[in-house]
Amino acid sequence: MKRLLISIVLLFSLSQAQDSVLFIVPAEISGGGATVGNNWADGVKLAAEHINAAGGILGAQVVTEVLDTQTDPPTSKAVIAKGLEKNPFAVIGPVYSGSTIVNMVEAERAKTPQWVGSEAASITQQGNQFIFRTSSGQNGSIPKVTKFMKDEGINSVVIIYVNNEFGQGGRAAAVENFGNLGIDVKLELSTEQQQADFTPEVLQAIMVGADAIFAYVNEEESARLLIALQQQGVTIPVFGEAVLLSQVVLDLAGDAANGVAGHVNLTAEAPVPAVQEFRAAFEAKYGYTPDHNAMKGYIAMFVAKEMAERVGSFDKLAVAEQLHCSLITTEDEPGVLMDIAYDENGDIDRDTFLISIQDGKQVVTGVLPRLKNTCADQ
Amino acid sequence: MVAGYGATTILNSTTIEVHEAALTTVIGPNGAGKSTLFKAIFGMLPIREGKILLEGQDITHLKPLALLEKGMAYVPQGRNIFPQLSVEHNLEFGGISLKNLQETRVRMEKVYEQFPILKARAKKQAGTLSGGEQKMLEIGRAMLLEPKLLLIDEPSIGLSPILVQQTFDLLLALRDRGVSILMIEQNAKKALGISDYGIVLQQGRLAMAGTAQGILNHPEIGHLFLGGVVKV
Amino acid sequence: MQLQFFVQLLVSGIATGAIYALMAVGFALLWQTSGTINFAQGEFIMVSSFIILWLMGLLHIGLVPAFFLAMFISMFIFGFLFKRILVDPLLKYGDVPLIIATIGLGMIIRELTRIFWGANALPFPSLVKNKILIFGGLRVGTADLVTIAVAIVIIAALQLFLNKTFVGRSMEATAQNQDVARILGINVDRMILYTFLINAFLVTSAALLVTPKLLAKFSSGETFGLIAFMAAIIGGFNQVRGALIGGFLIGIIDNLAKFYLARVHLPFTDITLNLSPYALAIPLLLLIGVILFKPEGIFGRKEERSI
Repeated sequence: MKRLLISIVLLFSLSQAQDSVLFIVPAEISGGGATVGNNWADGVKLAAEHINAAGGILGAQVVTEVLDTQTDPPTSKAVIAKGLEKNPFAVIGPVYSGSTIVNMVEAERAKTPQWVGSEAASITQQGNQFIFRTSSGQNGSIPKVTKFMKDEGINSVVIIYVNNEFGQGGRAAAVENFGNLGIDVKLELSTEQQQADFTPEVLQAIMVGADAIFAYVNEEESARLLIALQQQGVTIPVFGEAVLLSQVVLDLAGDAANGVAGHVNLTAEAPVPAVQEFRAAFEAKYGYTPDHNAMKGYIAMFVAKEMAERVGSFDKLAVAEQLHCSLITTEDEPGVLMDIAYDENGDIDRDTFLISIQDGKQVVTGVLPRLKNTCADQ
Repeated sequence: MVAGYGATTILNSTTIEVHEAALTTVIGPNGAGKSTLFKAIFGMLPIREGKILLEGQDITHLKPLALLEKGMAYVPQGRNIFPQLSVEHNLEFGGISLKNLQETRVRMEKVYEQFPILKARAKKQAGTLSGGEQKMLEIGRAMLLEPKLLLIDEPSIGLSPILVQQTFDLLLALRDRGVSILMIEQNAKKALGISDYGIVLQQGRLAMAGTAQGILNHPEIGHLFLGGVVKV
Repeated sequence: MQLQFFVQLLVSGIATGAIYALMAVGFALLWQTSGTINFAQGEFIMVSSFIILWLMGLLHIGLVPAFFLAMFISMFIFGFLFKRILVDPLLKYGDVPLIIATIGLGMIIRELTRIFWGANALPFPSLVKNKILIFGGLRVGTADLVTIAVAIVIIAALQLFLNKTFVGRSMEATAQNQDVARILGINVDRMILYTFLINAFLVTSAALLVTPKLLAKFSSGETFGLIAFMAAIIGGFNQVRGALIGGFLIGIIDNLAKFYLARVHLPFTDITLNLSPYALAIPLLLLIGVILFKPEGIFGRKEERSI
């Protein structure tokens, strides 16, 4: 008995020793968001492997613990609260905005930095000093799409959005930006997750006769929408954001996706050597092409690593404080893939890409350089 | 015979005898186990103890299909038709144990001869028939097998007096053709009046058995139906 | 223009409704003959599509042979084994334990599918390559036409089987009155088994038809199950025909509601309301209405209980 107790105590003290550092990774492993959540978690795990192979962070090996949020906001809050009891260095995830909005208070309360893949505008507008994005939020990226559409000569638009946190946030940002640019929003159509038939939306879009469709729905629904548009012979151009242009949608929609254009924060197609190296490593390990969520998860880990090294310890408070208004270049840390600047709210500024789909593939038609408008550059 | 539902014993050491080519009526107060007796005989309930013999053959644990093959048919209480199926298709089910559709059709014609009304309604959904016609369909379906023994549970329930009389006449005609009939009736006086033999069940036990006339005239019977106890 | 759109919505609604009908009919059949409310129905459909994909990859065979093979596997697992292992032992304790068990079974199938085949949606081949046919102004995909045709053939064959064959009628009889069926010598247990096999066949057929459109994804069973349940309640739980019409109704009403609620012009005003976010509520309102005012379903019949 005594020996057993001693070994338990020994085990405990071993795990407490700083030769490992824990990251908890809440992600949408099951449920409706499983496609994005698994991409995210795979990206994180690949980063951990790369970091450990190169000697870890400050000499400590990275340990990741993936927690399934089941794409359910209350569950995400519960698993994070439980995970935080182990005193991790950082929370990496989740992706779905609806979950993040509910669970971000947990990490804030535990004074633990949290990197998320979520893009809903409201996340960084609540004064939470521990929340950090890994791609620009809707408020950062949607203006770029709308501006691009204006440049393409679009004067009126139909918005098709999904009736959830992500879709409503995108719709609100789009309506505001279309208004600023003088583009007439003729109709906004709400759709459901798991919607089977998009014929009603397509027919409405035909009936109102806009110059373009702005689609802001989840991956599989994007594919169904594009197929329905093709079936009804709609020739008006379709614009969108990362999700619409993602690899998953292209795989599912086939040639119905051709001609779709828009703007993405990150793409495995980016003509950047570091991105291509990441992609090759990811494909070799997991056997599928990473989407932007896998890249975001990967980058999040390296941002955390770089900040721990800058602070010189795993002082979570110091890391969170230091990251605001910081610029991390690929020279500082190649794992961030592209230069990334954080503002005072946890929003980021990074080069982004204009994309159009040709022959079932993403083609980068332009690079929008970093805006350099955050406190990191001043 | 001992039988019951689950752990509850309804029939407790009940012994009865059914005479050949005769109409035997089972009477008794509610809850005496009359319907349970029929279900037990017809293989719908497990029999815990005892034996059932048909012409000397042990049929105790046989399933309904085997009993049908042995020449026994059962018409339970209430509505026993398939309302959504046609009259014809309802009747057809009477011949399952024959395992011969050709033979079934021949016998269906015989039933039709006896009940022309069923032939006229052959293609109609059985649910559209009147109560009396439905009872005819049930009896016709049981007769299709030309059974040796017919168990019939409260045939008069829900029928007008004229139809009750018709049903009884029908049963008497069957008896005259040599079918043994075991019938449960609530209307004891009327039923015993046309029966050859009578059986009185009480609390799952045989209280009395004998000729119908004998039971009808027994001084304790009137008492029984006033809720008393028969002393034999 | 308006009429053409209406017809277009009707046609595409029928195409989805036909698949919903397949899902709902099996659901209602199980209930009728065995009193099983199968909340794993959606997962049966979902995993059948994965089985088809798996067979195609494993044996390098086409969609149609893979479908027939999957059908036998599905009949064995979701017909025979489902009945023997889950339904038979539980049914004697009443409806509720079995309902809970099927909900649990659904979860297990969902998670196992995720573990074996991953969480990503997979594309699924269509029976025919979709070509768009134009009739007047109406645009109909050949894939939709084939879906409607296959669904109708399957349903018609099922109806013929149930009404015109002795075995089919024995199944109907079992569904309508099990005790009497037993008394007449019908092998009730076998008839119930047949219903489970038929349901497994319908489930695989629904998977074949629905997955090209909705993709193979481990989580899609929840939606399918819900639709089957709603269609069966709306149309009438106790009749195959009711569930059938319920399926079509949901497909069509869904489409019409989405289209016509997007721009509701208030009479005598210039105000146009966009009610598209509330379109989802229409089938649910119908469901609630049916439960409140016609619990036997729009096309169902009242349960008659003999005393």
